[in-house]
Amino acid sequence: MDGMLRNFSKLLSVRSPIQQFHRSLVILKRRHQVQLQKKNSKQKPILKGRHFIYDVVENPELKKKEKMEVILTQYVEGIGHEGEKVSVRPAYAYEHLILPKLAVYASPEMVESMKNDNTQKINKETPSSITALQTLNYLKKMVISVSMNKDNPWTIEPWHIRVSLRKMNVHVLNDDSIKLPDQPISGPDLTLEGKSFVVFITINKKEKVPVECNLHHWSTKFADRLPYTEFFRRDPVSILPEQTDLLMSIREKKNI
Amino acid sequence: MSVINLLDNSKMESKLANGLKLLYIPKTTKISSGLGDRLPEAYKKFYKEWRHKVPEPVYFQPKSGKWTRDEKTNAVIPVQNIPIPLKYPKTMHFGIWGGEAVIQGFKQSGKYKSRVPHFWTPTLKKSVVYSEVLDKYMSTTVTERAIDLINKNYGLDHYLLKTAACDLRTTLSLKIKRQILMALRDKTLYPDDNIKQQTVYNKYKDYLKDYTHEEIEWYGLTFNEALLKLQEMDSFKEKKEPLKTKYRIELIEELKNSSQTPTEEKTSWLNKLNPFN
Repeated sequence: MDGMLRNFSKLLSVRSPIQQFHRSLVILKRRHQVQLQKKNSKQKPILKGRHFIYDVVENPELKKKEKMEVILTQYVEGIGHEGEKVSVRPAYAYEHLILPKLAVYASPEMVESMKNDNTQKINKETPSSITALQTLNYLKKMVISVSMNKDNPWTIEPWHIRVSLRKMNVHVLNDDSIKLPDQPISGPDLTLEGKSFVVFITINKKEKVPVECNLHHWSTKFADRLPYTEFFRRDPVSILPEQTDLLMSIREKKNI
Repeated sequence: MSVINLLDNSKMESKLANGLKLLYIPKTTKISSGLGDRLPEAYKKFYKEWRHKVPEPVYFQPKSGKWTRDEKTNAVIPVQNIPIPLKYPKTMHFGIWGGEAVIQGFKQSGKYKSRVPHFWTPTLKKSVVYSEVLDKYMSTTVTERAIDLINKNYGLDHYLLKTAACDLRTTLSLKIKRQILMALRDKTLYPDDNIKQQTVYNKYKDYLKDYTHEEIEWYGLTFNEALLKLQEMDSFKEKKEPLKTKYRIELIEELKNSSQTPTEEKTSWLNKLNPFN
């Protein structure tokens, strides 16, 4: 009786075969081969229990998917220009390019028709590079902290902005692409502490971005340094009165 | 003597062959017995493609060639690809599974271990498919393989139109295929845009060669739907009035006529009996 109960409890604890956390499409193989059938026989082969023991040969879904080629129907940030043939991961291509009709499949007919179309679409406005708009959006979201000396006199020049950007891992290659406001800002002037101004940065000599800069006074002496504040969270106060509206508009876009 | 023997043998063989032919009784199926036998050939063709045709191998790699060698004995044996039996659950008909199904079998970790039952089931995900002909986005349950096949065939329309019904299997994908075929046949695609209609039609018109007008009418219907359609067609064709209405009208006319000429002879029942009258 005890043995029966023990066995019965074992049966109860056996996991239901349906609750398996297993993935799908697998290539299977019979462990025991089915016996040879008669030539051209119309009867179904007789399958015994042993013929249902399968071994997993291969699991294609666990492999990395090969990239797929698509032709873009319009400019896509970070991917390519209109009419360009690009190879991307199939899941990304299907969900983000083909379903929203940003791209079409690169079937042989499509490739030929696109070749013919390319001759007509030369004079279209396109961004300067694939990643230009991404860079633009990235810069728009930034609030640059421009740290200036608290003791020695200075006037803000393009290289100050370049260095401040470099601290935030943005490398501006040429100072000509940074355009300061017309009115010079000079100091040290503690009334300007924590206030903002806007500079314009040109990407690839084409796209122009307004970028918010926050002025901060910094001293080499540890005791003279001002305390750290979260300037990028505060509402911006403009140094130049003509830039207040621009500043507010930049912040509003950021919050969205 | 030997010649005669040979002749006899050949005769015997032919007789035997005839006998075997007579012996052969085709297997009864849904479409060859009962109400199903009355369905038109167009539907029977589709049904055979859907249910009787052997689907493409999905879960095993078929061996190519005619002969192989046995792994253990190295003897020459013929190649016989016996497919792995699949189970088709009801829920599959609400999605596009791309030929995938459920496999019921066993796992066995060693020769002397007991075999453990196991179900190999497809992983399903909710996604969207787009049909160019119907110009529609459809939210459905799909498998990874289905999306893969759509990508490889350059779009849902090409995939559905190229693939046989036995490989699509699910009623949902067959229904979409039916809609696409009907739209192409009747040219009801893009009713507002003539140029777009023409370009899309030219893209897919080659697929229409495989079907006649009637075959498309019956394509993609389940067995029960086909029977209902047949019933509807029958009722439409015949429209038989019950005989009682016909007789009633006749009777009424007769009565009217009789009322117009009320010249009934007064005869007693005795007259009837008189045979010389």
